[in-house]
Amino acid sequence: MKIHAARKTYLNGPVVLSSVSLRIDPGSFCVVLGASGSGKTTLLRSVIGLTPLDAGEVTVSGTRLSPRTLRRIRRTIGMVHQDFGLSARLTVAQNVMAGTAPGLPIWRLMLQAYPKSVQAKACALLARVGLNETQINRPVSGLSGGQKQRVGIARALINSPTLVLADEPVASLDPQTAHDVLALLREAAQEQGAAVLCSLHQINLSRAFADRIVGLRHGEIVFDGPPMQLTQDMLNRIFGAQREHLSPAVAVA
Amino acid sequence: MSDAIAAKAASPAHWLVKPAYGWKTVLLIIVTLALLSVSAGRMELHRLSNQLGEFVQASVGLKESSQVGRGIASVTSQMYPIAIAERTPVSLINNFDPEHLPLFSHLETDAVEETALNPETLQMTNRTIEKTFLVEPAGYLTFTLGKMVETVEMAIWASLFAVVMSLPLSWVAARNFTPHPVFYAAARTFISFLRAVPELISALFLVLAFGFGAIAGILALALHSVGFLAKFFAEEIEAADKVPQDAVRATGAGDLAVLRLAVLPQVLPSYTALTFYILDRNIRMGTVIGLVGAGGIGQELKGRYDMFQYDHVATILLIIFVSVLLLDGLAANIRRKLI
Repeated sequence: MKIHAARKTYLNGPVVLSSVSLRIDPGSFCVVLGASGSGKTTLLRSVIGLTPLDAGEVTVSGTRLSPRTLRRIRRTIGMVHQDFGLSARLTVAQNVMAGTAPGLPIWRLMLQAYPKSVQAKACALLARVGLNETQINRPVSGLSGGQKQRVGIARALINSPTLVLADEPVASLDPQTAHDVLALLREAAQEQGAAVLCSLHQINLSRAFADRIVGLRHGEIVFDGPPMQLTQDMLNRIFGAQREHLSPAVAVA
Repeated sequence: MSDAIAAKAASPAHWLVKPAYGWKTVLLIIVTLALLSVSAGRMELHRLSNQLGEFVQASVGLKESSQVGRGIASVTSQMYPIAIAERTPVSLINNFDPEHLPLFSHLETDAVEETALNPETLQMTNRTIEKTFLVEPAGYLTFTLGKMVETVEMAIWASLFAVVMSLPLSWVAARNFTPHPVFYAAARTFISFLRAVPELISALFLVLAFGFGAIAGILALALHSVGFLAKFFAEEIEAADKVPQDAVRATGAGDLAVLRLAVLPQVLPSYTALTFYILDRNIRMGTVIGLVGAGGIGQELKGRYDMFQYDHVATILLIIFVSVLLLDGLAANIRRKLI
């Protein structure tokens, strides 16, 4: 996956992305680290065409993203959303199987009658993310935040994607659950051979899980390298100098 | 010096609390009163006060009688006792078989005076003939209840048609899903038009097109209901949470899949509640549109009223009142559980 010279400005707003270029290698776990408003979400959404870019281009597996290729490319990418993006009144299994919607005939969609193969795959994935049989036929609304995001991960993986986009997947979870969910995302994606592009604002989680960290500040890449190169100096560049008063210990806690 | 003024202004003793009513309110009240007094003259409201005064005087015994009182007395005296039994002259029943009477019914024979022309003498003569009636003790009550059931059936069909028409229409009329702004504008205009035509008026014309009976009633109710349902359905779609929609769209799904998987689950409870409201409304309106011949209990009411059979009218009114009350409560209950 390649992003080249991406630029985005909202009407009467600040520049959200200015000339961002990025290349994600297959199978890697890349974290986009930055403060709120640094352009992480816009960057991720532009990959999948949910937020159209003003300039620049996105190429996924050699295909350039355009209105014509948009839906085809989307089918090769899974996405995990900050607010889970689940339909609360559908069951857990229905939410996961909904990921296969674009490949199914309309009548199957309308009746929510998914083929046996899809059902089997959904069950396997749900078991993989740690849900049991009694939970899969209950509405999603009854699950905890961590369980919801596990369902979100299962849905992102059901089309065997080559890339998973995770937009602040653990923003609303407590630290322990956040750790578990990220660990699951990393392992499950690796098993499927999918690369992950994950946006985070937590430094400790980024250090713990990323193969590579891309630091974003005011829509520009200010750091790009493995976690071990992420020094306090670099953190200041990513989050701004006012973060200096936070000792690394606090930031990691 | 200026410090002193500032200090004075800052002290709470000099704060001004804005009065709740200002000169604008007074002006508004004066204008409203002026307009109402002009309208009162046009509506002949002085006649209302005269008649009411007369009625009150008559009812406390200061006056012998009043116009309103006489009107009410004459109607109520004719309404009571209400018509429950049905008496049909046997001669009017086709293939009448006295051996097999309907359940709970019996025969009554009355002596009826008849004036007839004697063909020989060419004079009017009175003669007494025996007439046999089939009496069904609760015949009219059950007949009217049947008519009420017919009205409820009309309302159910009308609501069903309205939902079926509103679902695709609301898709086009939802700003975030419409295929094209032109379709959006067209759909919204069409929906507003349907809402603007009262069912009693559309029923008048539908009766001309489809003839007397339930079909015209069903169509009239359905068209007006679409005007409501499609509007509210579309607004529910527009207000639905965008996060699940983005999530489904991100899988590469089209609008239809997004509607089915991310929008419908969200809006279903309010859709059901709205549909029950429309059903409840259609039952109430269904009793009225029969007045123009569009089927149901209203048509029976209009017929009996025109024939001055106020005892039958009383039965009809009672049945409408009781069933609307019951169904109203039922629909409100279901709606409360859904929201």
